[in-house]
Amino acid sequence: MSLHDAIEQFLLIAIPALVLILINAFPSQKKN
Amino acid sequence: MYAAHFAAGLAIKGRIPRTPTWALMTAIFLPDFVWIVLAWMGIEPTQPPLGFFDDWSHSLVMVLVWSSLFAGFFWRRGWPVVLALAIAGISHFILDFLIHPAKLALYPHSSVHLGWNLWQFGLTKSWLGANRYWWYEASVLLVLISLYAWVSWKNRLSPNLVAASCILVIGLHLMAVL
Repeated sequence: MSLHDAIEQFLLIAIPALVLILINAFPSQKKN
Repeated sequence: MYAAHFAAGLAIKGRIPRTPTWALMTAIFLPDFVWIVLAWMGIEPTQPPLGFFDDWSHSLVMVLVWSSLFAGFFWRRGWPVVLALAIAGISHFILDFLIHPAKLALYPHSSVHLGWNLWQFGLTKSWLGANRYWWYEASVLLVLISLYAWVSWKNRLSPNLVAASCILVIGLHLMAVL
């Protein structure tokens, strides 16, 4: 696998993961 | 599998919310991260004529080793977090066991391989332009997302947060058919 392919594979996982991390960084408020 | 791994991570996050999301996402994709590095180094070939080989990253024993090592770094955060991260890593094997380009080895270079030869079956075109693999993963995703929604509701997590996470993961899977 070339470095380009390796970076592409990594980003394919890392980008959605980063968005999920940001979403879950908001306080998970409990319902009243 | 791709989106289903994210869904598995979310289900674990819903059950044990204090597990750091970044750690969970790393644990859930740990075998793939190891595979990317080893494939780049040429240790785990991905293309013919060398074939497809991922024993060092994806075999059962190695997944247990990678997951335990990674989870062990979080021992200060308590056993529930360590356990959540270990399960996250192992869940990667369980989901890949269902369908994978090649059957998964018990340990590197083992003659024992686990799983089914469903890869070629999965590549056959099915409804709405998607192949069987896509529908197969969609059904697994649905189960995991439902589990996430249920445990999050039980743990009284914010519905907005849960909905946003679900939309993202379902969107990822839908994008795969485009």
